Formats: sequence, C-alpha cells, structure tokens
Amino acid sequence: MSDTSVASPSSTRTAKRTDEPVLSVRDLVVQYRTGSGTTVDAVNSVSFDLYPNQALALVGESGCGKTTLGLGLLRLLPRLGHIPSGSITYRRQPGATPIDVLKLNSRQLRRWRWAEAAMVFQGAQSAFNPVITIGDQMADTLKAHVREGERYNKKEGIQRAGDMLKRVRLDPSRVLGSYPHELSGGMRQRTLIAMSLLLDPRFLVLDEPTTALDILTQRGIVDLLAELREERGFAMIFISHDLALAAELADRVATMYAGQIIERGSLHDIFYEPRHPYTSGLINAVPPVVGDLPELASIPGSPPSLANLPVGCSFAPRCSYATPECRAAEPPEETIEARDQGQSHEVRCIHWREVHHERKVIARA
Amino acid sequence: MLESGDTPLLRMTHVDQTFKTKKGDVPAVQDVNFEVGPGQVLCLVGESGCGKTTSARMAGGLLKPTGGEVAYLGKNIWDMDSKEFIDYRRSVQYVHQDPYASLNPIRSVAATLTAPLLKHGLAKNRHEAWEQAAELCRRVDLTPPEAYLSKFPHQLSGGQRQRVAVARALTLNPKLIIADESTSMLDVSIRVGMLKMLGKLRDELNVGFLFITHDLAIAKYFGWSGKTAVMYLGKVVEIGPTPEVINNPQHPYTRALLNAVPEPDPDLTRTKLPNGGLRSSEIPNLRELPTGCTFHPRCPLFEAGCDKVVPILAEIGPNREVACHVTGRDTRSQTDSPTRELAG
Repeated sequence: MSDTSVASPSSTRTAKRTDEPVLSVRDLVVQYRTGSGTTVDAVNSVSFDLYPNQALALVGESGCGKTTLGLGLLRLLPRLGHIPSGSITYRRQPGATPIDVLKLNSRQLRRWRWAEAAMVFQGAQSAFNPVITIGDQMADTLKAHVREGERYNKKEGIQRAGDMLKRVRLDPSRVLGSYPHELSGGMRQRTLIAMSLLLDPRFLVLDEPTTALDILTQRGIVDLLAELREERGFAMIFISHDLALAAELADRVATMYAGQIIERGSLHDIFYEPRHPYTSGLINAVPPVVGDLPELASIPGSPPSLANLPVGCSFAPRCSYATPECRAAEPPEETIEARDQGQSHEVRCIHWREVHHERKVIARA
Repeated sequence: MLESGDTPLLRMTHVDQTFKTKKGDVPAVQDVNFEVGPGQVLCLVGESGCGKTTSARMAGGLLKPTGGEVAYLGKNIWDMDSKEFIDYRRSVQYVHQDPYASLNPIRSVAATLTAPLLKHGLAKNRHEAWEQAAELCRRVDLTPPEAYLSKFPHQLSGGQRQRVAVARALTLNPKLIIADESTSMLDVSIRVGMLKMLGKLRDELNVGFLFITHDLAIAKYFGWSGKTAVMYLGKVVEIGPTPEVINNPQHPYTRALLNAVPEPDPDLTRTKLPNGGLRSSEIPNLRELPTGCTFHPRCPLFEAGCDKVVPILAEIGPNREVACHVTGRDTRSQTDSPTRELAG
C-alpha cells in the first residue's frame, strides 16, 4: 500500500520555487586551526538554499568537507574549527522572522538545536550516552526544551517518545528501557532518527546515516526517511559518499570537492547530465547492479591536501579536461540551463560544455 | 600454470561451524560446499551474521571446522603435515576489511613487505628483499615505489593502505587470495581502481579469489566471469555463475537483496520495492532458527509447508543450485515438462 511513496515522481517537487528557503547559506567559510598555527579552509565560500520538504544530498570523497559543512550548519564544530565569514539564515516557515544562526548565543543555540534543526550522526553507537537508557535520553531532550513557563510532564514525555518510536517501527516497550548497546545497529539508527524528530525540527542533517548497516537494513532506513519526510515536511541535508543513496533519497544534489561546492543541480540534471568532470567521474565509479556490466572508471589520484591547495581549479591535477587556463585561475560559478524546468544548475568548471557524460557498457561472458 | 589439473585450489565439502556459547550452540555455518580454481573468482554475499566471514576464516585455515572438510589441492588442510601446512599457508593469503587495523603501525611499508620475504627465504638478503618489495609496490600500483616504501601506515590514505595489505598478501606468491570485504571501507572513487587492480592479479598471475562482500554490485563487477554464492543464516541458498545469479535470481532472498541495492540512477532506483519486497526485515537469531526453511518468516513467496520442510540446495540448471521449495519447484518443472503452465 505504501509501495508508491518512495517512487513518487520528483516532478511534484520540481515546480518553480517562489517560497522562501528554510535555510539559506551564503559564502560560508569554515576554518580549522592547525598545530603549526596556520589555518586551513575546510569549507570554502559555500552558498545554497534549502527549501521546505527538500532533500539535498552532499556528495564527494572523504576529506572534501561534507561533514564539516554539516557540523558548521548546526554550529557543532569541534574546538579547533570556527566560522570566520559567511551567513546562515534559518526560517521556520515561509514568512517567519529569519534567524541569523551565527549570531545565536549558546543558550539560544541549545534551544534552536533539536527544536528547529537536528543532526543524525554516522555512528549511532557514539551518538548515545552508553550508560543512560534510551527512554531517559529522549526524556532529557524533551525536558531541555520545555517552553518558558511550562512544566515538564513525565508521563506525557514518555508517551511522546513512545509514539515517535512507534513511528519508526520500533516497539517502545522493548526500546525505551534499553541501553544503546542492547539494540542492533539498525534499531539504534532508527532510534536516533526518532529522537532527532522528537521536537519536530524543520531541517535535519544526516551524516552517512546508513554507512555501517547491512543492505536490507539500509533499505529499511532509506524507505523510512522518505516516508517521514513526505509526512512531516521537514527538509534534509543528506551527506553521503555513496551516489546511489543520493539517487534514492535526494531531489537536489551538491558535489563537494576540496571544501567547495563545485556543482549543484536537480537530481536528474546531476545524474543524467553532470557538467563537472568530477561529478561525472563519481557517477561512473559506482557499479550498478541491474543490467549489463558497465565500464567503470576510477578517478585518478587523490583529493588535494586542504593545507596545500593547487593554484586555480583544485581538481585540475586529476582532471582529463584540464588546460593551462584551469591552472591559472579559480573557475567562477556559472549558471547553466537546467533540464528540469525551474531548477537551477550551477557548475564551477570552465570546460562544462565539453563534459560529455556517458556510461559505456561492455559485453563480457 | 599450476600442476593441479582438475583438482581445485580450494574445496569446501559439507563444512559446518558451530560455536559453543554459554547461551547455547550457534550454528554459524551449516553444510557449505564450494570450490575455487586458479584464476577463478567465487563471491560470497549476504548480510552480516550469515556466515560468510566464518566460511572465509575456515577456508584460510584460521578456524577449524566442526564438521566437513576444507581441502587445499585435494588434501584436507587439518590432516597435513607441517611442511604441507606451511605450503598451504603460503599459498592462501587473507586480505582483511580494515587496512587501519591490519597493518602494523610501527612498521614501514618496506618492513611490512620484506619481513615475510626474508623469513620464508624468498630473498637472500635485505637488498634483494627491498628490490622485490619495490616490484610488489608496482604490482599494486603504488608508484613510484621509492615514495611509499619508507612510509608508515599513518602517512598513507585508506586506499593506499589497502594496496599495501594486498602487496603483503602477494609477497609469498599466493595461489588464492581471500578478500574479506576488502573494498567496503574505501571511497567509491578509489574502490573501482582497487577492484581493477585485483582483477589484473587474477588475469596476470592466475590467482584465485574467494571474494566476500555484502554489496551485490561489487560482487557483480568483480565476479562477473566467476561464480556467486548467496548465504543466509549459515547456509548457501543460491549459487551459480555471477551473471545468472545477478540478472536472473531464483531464491527470494537473492531477489530481496538485489531489490534493496540502491542504483546510481534516480529513475531506476525509485522503482525498487520497499524493504526489498520482504515481509519482515528482522533477521532471526541463529540460536533460535525458524523451522523448515529458515527464510520463511521473511519470504514473500511463503507457502504452506515452507515452515516444516528444510529445502535442499538442488540443481535447477547448469551449474546453478537453489534451496527453495517454491522457485526450485517451478524452475525444475519448467525443465521437466515444458508444457505445464507455470504460476508466476
């Protein structure tokens, strides 16, 4: 009965956006201090808008700044990281007063997190306190977010936690009294999702939420996320190195490389007509399981060190399209015509017209 | 290349592994049969806890089976004298999942690679060992070797470490490599390069592979010219040539796994069934296995009787075996009496 919910055509969400974004990021820079007293830009001048109910996938190799960007959006950066410039604006709903996230003080920030924005981490094991039961941890979250002048009602809290667990298809009587280690990986991840949605946040950052899970468990989580998004209308930023998962869950995709978003566009534009050689390379590196055997190609070399970025386009040393021009100056972001009507498609590559994406199928056996 | 003739490198016959625990026996592997020849690939796929790593550990001689026989070149490895066993240990090498844990952090790449060469007398002196280590680095595409030999694991990326782990496995000229999820921790962009490199070893050095993965897309890509065995709760439920298992799966579990794999194609991937088409996503406990076919509580093709009779892995075509009452019967009757009308 719910078998079409996942396969719902994305065209319903690709209408021209006139509403206001839930999250608006402009020229965001995240720096880390290094041992030698210098700084590196882990995220470099990133801009994007996230609209209500939209799912944006951030893809790229490890070390490209995806996780740092995710942490930066919620201001959860480790001590050595900070945001020297840029802006993050949040709006609970269109028309609501915008909140400048970078100006929130620590008290406001604590209230903002969970209630407005939440993060689901990769290792659900380490996201929980190992010596407190799931029920108590969920209650703590609710308690910390009781509105001014109201009192926390324990019974109501347990009820709410239980309802949310039921929603992610877990048995509250089994889970609430359990310690994190007593749950399987898939159950823990579901619990974490339940907890992140407890206060009905408007956007969710999910950092590789299915990486350590088995294929069928992963499928269950992916289906659940699609379902919950449909039902509750939150927006999400989905961080993954697996492009196949992005294809499954996202309606917009942003490719990151060396701290920058080098291409962003609608799901179909990115997967069927990528214009950055790096995006095209990433897609061609993923083996499909249906159909004949395609010719896969890895991207030669490895990502550059952020402390020592090449001059010009940082992908140029690994790029087959690179020319002396690429090595001379950083390519500007260009807006190009999108396949999907009303969607924008931006790319940072001066050779985007030449990038011709195709998958070669080789006949073997 | 090998004098083995028809004898496969590795043959597992009716292999069982039951772990004894305080809470009762855990039948991790039951009645597993397969073989790998020189230059051949056998992929073992399945979810965690299905017994694929336990099977691999038994194949690698790291674990003694509680039943059945693991034979190398026709000889049971646990009946070998020490000389034969050393030869087997040299010829069958293991590449682990996590290159962060499998390399000694205080040994340089050169030390890691030269130690086995010197120990087994394959190099006469340090200089010769160094030369051979450099050659191994070239084999696994760590070029130029001089740039890597003096490095320590922490100075290498995950992909480079895994290449060092493969180079180490190659030091003793193995005939069979057991790769246990060897590419699953690597980034997508690096994974393909790694698989291509392993494929080259198979083609050029005629090395056989027992390739363990939970990712069917990887099994398909690496094992296309070989065979794939799908395991569920300690048993092989389907085995056959990879293209057939992947493109024409017969066991409902194989079908569910294939249905659960996301595709790098937005339109295609959204046609997949929720939950892989299964009735339940719960994996049963190995201590309390369901009766009859252990897959029946999750199986979409469940029929009366499936929960009573254990299906046997039976041949349904050339080189193809499936353990399922429903699809097994259908495909068999198809070949027996082509006139009969088929359900589904």
